[in-house]
Amino acid sequence: MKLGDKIRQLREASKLTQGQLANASSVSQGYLSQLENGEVKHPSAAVLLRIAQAMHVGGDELFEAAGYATVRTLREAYRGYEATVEAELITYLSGLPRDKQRRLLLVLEGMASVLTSNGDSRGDHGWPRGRDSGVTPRSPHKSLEYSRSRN
Amino acid sequence: MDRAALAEKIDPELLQMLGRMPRRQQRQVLLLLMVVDNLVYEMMRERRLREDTE
Repeated sequence: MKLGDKIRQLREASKLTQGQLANASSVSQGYLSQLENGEVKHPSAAVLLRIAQAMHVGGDELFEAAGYATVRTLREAYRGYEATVEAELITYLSGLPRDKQRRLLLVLEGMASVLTSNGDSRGDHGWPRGRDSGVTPRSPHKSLEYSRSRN
Repeated sequence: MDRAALAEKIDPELLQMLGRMPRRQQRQVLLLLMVVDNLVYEMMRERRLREDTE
């Protein structure tokens, strides 16, 4: 449901007029009307919170309708990752401090970048050509979907 | 602790990158980490032994 429709629905359920809600949430009635009509695309979180408090509802519904991340939406995103990443890897990584996790991310990105880049004097994997010179091996890391940069 | 709670402890960008990898590569990352972990442990142990004998 769009943000404007959501606000109108909650306001009507709270039996408040636009003027009453505007007063209670310290916004102008004109602004509230624009919000309900979908004319304001990105209202501030502070305004949404005041409106939610004035209607005695939680802010999450309005935040999500406005596209803000909430604890609930982040949890859902994490649940998605949790389903696609190996359980043992999750267990291992969760035991590492955040700074080490960030360093690992940089290492993996660096490796993927080296292995998928097409160097001038190097093979397809970025390593110097050996006996198989001239043979272009298929990179097993194509699935990483990193754009191949050509220097 | 359930897996979702463990996943929340991981940097979201790292998790996103791993999530894009096939399972086989994820297992290889885990293997790589365990090998490096073991290597670092061995190196530390050797250094401590060397320091003790000096």
